[in-house]
Amino acid sequence: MRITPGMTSDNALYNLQKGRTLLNRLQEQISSGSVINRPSDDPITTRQLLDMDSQLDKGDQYLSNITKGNLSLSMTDTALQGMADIIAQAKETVGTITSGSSDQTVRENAASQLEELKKQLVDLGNTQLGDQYLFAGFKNSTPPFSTADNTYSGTSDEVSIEIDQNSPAAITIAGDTLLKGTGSYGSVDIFETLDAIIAAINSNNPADIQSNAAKLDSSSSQINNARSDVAGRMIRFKSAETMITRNQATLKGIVSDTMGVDYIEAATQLNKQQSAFEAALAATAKITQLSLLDYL
Amino acid sequence: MGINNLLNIATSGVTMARVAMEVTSENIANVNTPGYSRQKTVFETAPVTTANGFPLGTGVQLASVQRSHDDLLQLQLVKGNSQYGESETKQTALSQIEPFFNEVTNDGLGQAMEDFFNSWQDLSVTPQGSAERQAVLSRSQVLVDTFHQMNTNLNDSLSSADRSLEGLTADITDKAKSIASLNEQILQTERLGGNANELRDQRDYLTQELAKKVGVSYSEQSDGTQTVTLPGGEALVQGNSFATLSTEVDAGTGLNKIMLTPVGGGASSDITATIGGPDNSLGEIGGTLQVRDEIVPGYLAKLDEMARQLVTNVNSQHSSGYGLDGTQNNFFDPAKITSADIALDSTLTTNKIAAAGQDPTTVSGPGDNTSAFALAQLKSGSFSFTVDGKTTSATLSSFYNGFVSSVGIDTENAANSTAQNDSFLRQLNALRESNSGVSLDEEMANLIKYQRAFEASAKVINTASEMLDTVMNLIR
Repeated sequence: MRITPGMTSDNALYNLQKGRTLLNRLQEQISSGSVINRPSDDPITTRQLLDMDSQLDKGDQYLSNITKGNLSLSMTDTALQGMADIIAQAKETVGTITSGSSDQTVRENAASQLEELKKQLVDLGNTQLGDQYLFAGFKNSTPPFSTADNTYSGTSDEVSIEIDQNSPAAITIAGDTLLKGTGSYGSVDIFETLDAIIAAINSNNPADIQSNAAKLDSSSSQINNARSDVAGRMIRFKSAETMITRNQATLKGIVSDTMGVDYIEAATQLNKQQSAFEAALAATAKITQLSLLDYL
Repeated sequence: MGINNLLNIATSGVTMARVAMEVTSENIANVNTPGYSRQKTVFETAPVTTANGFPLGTGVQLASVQRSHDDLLQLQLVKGNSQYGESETKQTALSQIEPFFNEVTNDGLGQAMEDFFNSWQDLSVTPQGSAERQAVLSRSQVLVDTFHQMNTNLNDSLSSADRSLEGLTADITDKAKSIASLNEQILQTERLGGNANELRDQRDYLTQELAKKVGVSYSEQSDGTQTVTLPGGEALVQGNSFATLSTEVDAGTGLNKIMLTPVGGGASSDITATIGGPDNSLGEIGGTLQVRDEIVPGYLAKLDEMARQLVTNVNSQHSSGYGLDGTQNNFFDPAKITSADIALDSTLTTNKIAAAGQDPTTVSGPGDNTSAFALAQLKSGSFSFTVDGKTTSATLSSFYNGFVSSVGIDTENAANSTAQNDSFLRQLNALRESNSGVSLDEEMANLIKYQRAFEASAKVINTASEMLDTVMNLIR
């Protein structure tokens, strides 16, 4: 085949261009740290990477939800602990006067102690997290309990948040199931019971005192049931958090394996390509200088 | 007769050597002219006469000046240029569109959608929080703005493709005109018996350049003119007349139509459907039409479908929920379901954002987060996307990720296609260069060869002249 100097120089330029393109790509990979810098570099892997990014983002959001939920549950737990203490104190006080007493002062002391304890219970029932009332169900911008009467002005709902894909979890307890016995923790209306005991003490009715004292015992287990429910939920949150964190770590590892540049390999390639390119440049320089004109 | 014969023969030798050197110098001068085919002189012996009873030659004469030319290569080059023009235009357009979808390095629509749904998750944890409500509004506005921007970007690509058609048609018409005038010149020259090698070279080269713009086919007529035909069968150049291509804006779509005024005048007709070749696969004009009429509208359709599904499904959940003020509202404006006009409902305020599943002012309370919870779960909800008659079931982010991936695939394919066509074209050009290209080494050697021939024939003249002198001096 006949070769002209024009062909030689065209060929040389084409191959130099190819060499430069390869060098450019390697340099881009090394300086950006990723093998894929645009969807067209590897469209299928891009799809996988984007899907994994989606999952990582979801995981982060769930972790954020879990953190906020934990706050609510811890406050609830602290309040419940306080309530349990109050019931214990109330039981102690009732214990001292369980058979009634002929002494008016003793009776008045016991009654006023119980009044105070009831007020504290109402306060705890109106515990707030920020400006939301924890035990008010959905009506959480107004206090659910009042010292004036024993009515509950919240709703019976528990606030649910998502802690993992399709995993809703409740982060509050409704005040009426807790303190008025309308739910599964127990069936004692604690405020009514306390009122009944106070009235029984004031009217020196030991029979009533004793029957209501028994209810007070049940209310203790009512509070405890709620506490173990909350504790169970906190354990569930903890394990969800651990699992999600572990998944995130694994996913991040996969993402960096897929997308990250192996610097050693890239540097080796760069060196190799550089030497090849330098050789091509030198050869081009040598060959394009040859011409018959130099010898005539 | 006699010494005159000798002089004539030597003169023909000198003249032919000079002609050969002229052709050689023409080759050397045109070594870098694109499209030039080297020429070589073909000599033959001059007619033989009988002298003294037996045949004797009368010198040398020029048979022809041939150009080294391969018709088959020209045909393949024309086709190769058309294919290359199409894939290169597509690749350029796609590589400018791809950055809008580059979710690998930039935060685009994908991230905006994630942030939007995350703001609903945050709201579901704190439904009456004013900060969370404000965040929902801000993130939604960002999402809406991002849709608008993507739409604008894609439409900009579309209009720039559309505008480029004007330049293309002007260029094609210009080349057609040049080919027509070359046809005329070649006709005249060859009629007078001259050779039109350079003109033919120019015409071949112009045809290749024309083929890059539009997928023409050509044929040479018996009178030496070349008829050029468009992919739809219409004549572009016939003899010394040419057709004119122009653009006209279609009143309905607002886009350019390609109009052809046929050879010899007449009413112009719309040839947009056929000028790009089958499936718009030939020439820069085919590539541009593909980008304008298939590729970008396809992307816009997917984007619009995403906007429609987002608005419809979010509104459906949102309007069944209650705002803090007890009212039920749409979240997005339900009349605006394309990516160009998607917008938040004009009456929406932070208090009207529906987090509650029941009226919080009467039935439940401000802590009711059931609607916000359900809306946040729409992120993992499967919708039915219908694009171009095909329905797929996917989550919003999964659909978008698939969309991004398909843009990547299109771009990668266009790049590969261009590289292949480029490589093919290069090989053809190399073959053509090998066949018809000027080699300076060769021309230098020829120059020396003809120079020596010239010197030798001149020497013969010299000798003949001396002989004549001798004869003259016989008679004194």
